[in-house]
Amino acid sequence: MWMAISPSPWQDEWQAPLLSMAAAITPAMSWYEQRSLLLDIQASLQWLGGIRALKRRVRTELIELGIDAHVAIAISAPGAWLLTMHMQRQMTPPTWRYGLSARRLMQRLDALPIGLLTGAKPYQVWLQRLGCYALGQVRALDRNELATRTHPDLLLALDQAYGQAPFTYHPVKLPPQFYERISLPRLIEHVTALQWHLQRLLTQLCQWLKQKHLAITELECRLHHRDRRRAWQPTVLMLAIAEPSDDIDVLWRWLQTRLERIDLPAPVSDISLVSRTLLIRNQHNLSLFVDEHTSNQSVLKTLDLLRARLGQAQVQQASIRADYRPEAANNWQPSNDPVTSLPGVLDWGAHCPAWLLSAPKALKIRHDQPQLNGPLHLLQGPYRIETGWWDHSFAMRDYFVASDQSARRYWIYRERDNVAARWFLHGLFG
Amino acid sequence: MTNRTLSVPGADKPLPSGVWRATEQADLPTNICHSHHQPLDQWLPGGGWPIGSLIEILTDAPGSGELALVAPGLAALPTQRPIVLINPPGIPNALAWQQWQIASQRLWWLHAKSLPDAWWSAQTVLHSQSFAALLAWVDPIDDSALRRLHARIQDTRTLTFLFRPQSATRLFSPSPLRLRLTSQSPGCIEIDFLKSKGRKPAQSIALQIAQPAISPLHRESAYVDGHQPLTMAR
Repeated sequence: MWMAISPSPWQDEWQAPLLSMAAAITPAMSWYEQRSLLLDIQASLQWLGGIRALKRRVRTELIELGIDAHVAIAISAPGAWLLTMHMQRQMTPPTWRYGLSARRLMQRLDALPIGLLTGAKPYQVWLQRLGCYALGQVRALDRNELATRTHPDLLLALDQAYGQAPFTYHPVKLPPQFYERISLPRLIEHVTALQWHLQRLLTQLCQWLKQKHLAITELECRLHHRDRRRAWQPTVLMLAIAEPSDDIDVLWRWLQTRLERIDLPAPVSDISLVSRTLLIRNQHNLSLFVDEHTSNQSVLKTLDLLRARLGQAQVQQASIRADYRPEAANNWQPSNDPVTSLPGVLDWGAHCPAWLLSAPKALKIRHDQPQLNGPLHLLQGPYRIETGWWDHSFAMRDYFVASDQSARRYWIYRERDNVAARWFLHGLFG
Repeated sequence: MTNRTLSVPGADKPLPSGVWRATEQADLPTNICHSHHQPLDQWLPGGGWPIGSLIEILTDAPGSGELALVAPGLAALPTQRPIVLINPPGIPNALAWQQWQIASQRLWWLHAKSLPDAWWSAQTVLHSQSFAALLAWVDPIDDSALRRLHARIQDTRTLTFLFRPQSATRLFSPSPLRLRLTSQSPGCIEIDFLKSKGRKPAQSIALQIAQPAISPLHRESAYVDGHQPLTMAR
């Protein structure tokens, strides 16, 4: 038994919800011409409670998803599809057609115009000259004659539609996804009490990953709340790690770090775990000595852990941009995957302080000398830059190394774009 | 020296391990990394920065030459392993690190919002065993956190520097090596050994950490763009 679902004006965003709806009914499904989904429902009929229950279920789900579709159930897949196509051609509002027995299907199909059958299109004019306008009339012709004068595929398509020849198809393969939801035996108010249940879910996840030879990089953990007085949005923990993992210890440590930092708004009644991004697991040989690979793995794991506690943006890696403005060249960014490309190389000579100020600090001037806890003496300079005209932060600066009584060295600059000298402190030599 | 110790009865007997005479170096740290400052290497126990041991550097303000002191040592560490800075007092300039021959992609900067977070980050980094060095500014650190950190470092392969203010000089610290750093003249720093295993220098060590300044003649010719010349250092 087959079901054909043909959304009438096709919209691309319907594809994913349609597939997930269909996947709940049967694992055997296939896309067919004209954007129709064919489902083999034979094996699921009893489980779903018969055709009536199935119809109720599919119809409400289609309405909930907001999909307008013609649906037909028939004993053959192309037969069901032809019925939906006929309804589309006639512009009927979304309705259901059935061909649940071979006789009923034959009656319905015999009346359909031949133009619907894809294999018959090249011969449509020729067949119409013979006086054949409906599929039933074509079937009444002599089979051998028809096979010689047209293509054997036409006969095959006809037989498949009437359920007299086997129908072959490429099943849709759904991307693997882990979804597990457990209801807690009682409402839990403290994060610590959740640990045991979460660990159980994670163990399931890890076993599933190992079975499928997958590793996970993004995981979503939802804590559903229940409260008699008001409705709560579930608390969602989105976790992302740089190094794909299927190791319970890693995942648990990582989830635990996040859990420590949340406050539950209401008691938790259900927990669910959904895999978001899965990757094929890379297999590496174990080595006796600590080598570059294992060391690198450990670095990534540690950085993930730090990100989980401090926050994504709080763990930053240095990178150098090819720019003469120090504030632009010195670029710290939170990066999930370590940068390995070679950075631009700039030579600043002696003008390279260890510390930069987040914003240049304006210095007072007394007796033509910049002041910072007393007068500053210039030691080295100037190092002149004139750059940044392309992005509205034009810098015309003369950099100097200066020092004061405390013998610390400062990196100061004078702006050259106006007549009165303006001095700024920009860095410290560490 | 030998004459004096001979007068003590039993002084010629071999001492049990873990006990040493004040004039001798204690059991030298085997895992060291040369600091690449000649005068300093002579006095550091074992001849360099001890790896897997807490090193405290006490300095008053950022910019006293603390990074120039440690950078040559850091550059000599294995080049693949990353270096972590926790809560540095300013924005670390990756260009300067590049000039010290340390690739910028090895540098990681952790912004910890609270002190417990900073201590936790330091311990996590040390625990992973795969970082080359840890530079932490995590003051005020309490006794128990410091002890925990010290205990954690014991058998790691991470070179760990803890930068603390000079006010911590009087406070107790389990760290076996504590240095106080003061800048003497521009580009020159002085190092006092507050605590060290074995012998200590009688006076502070002076180190040159920057290229000498250019000559005054050159300095005045530096003003060429028509602005009024500034009064220069006398």
